[in-house]
Amino acid sequence: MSWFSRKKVPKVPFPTGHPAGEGALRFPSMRPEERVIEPAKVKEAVGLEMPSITEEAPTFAARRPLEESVFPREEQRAALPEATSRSGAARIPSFHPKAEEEPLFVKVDVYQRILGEIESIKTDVSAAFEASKRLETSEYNEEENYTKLKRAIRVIHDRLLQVDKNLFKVQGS
Amino acid sequence: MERMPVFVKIDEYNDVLAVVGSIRKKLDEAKETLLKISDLKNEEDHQLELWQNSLAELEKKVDFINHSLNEPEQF
Repeated sequence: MSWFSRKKVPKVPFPTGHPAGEGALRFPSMRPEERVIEPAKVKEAVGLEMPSITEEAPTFAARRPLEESVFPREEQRAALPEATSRSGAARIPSFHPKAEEEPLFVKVDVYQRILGEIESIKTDVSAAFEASKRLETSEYNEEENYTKLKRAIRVIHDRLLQVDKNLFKVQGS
Repeated sequence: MERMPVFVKIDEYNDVLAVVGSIRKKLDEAKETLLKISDLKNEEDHQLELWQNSLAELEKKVDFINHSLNEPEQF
């Protein structure tokens, strides 16, 4: 076998295309699941993350079956008009839950505002504690001054009595 | 693309509401206590003013006695 002999090309069969099916290039009919952000994640994102001892892992036991109520099934969706099926996502928040275990959904901006208010309340409470400490100190000083004043008045009273005694002392007694 | 609102799930929000209610109650109590303290402070200020007036009167009388004993010719 010389170096310049003709290269052997292996016989590879050309790929045979197969016809695309009806649903091959379609987007999935199921819409993605509604995004639920847990409070801890929002705190992280907002930058208000604080270590909490009582923080537990989120449970999804009480979660409502959103997919069932919000997104109708394929056969139901076909029967619905376009507008109705698109506005289905707006029905997610329920601010009047009936059962006690049902979770509450609030908008992210409202939630962030609530977190901000809580932080501001914490600051106010700290300021109130400081003011209380200062008041305690000042009240202590006030007590001390009252005691001094009472002592001074008593001394004045005693001295006055002494002067009175001296001035009205009967001659010869 | 349609903008979808994002919601945050709050579990056990009834507990949160109960805590907020108790905070409001405590806040009302604190306001009442502050009012009482304010009344007491006003009363205290009034008594202090009376005390100050009494001391001023006392000082005047002591001055009179002092002068009358030290410089009797002037009286």
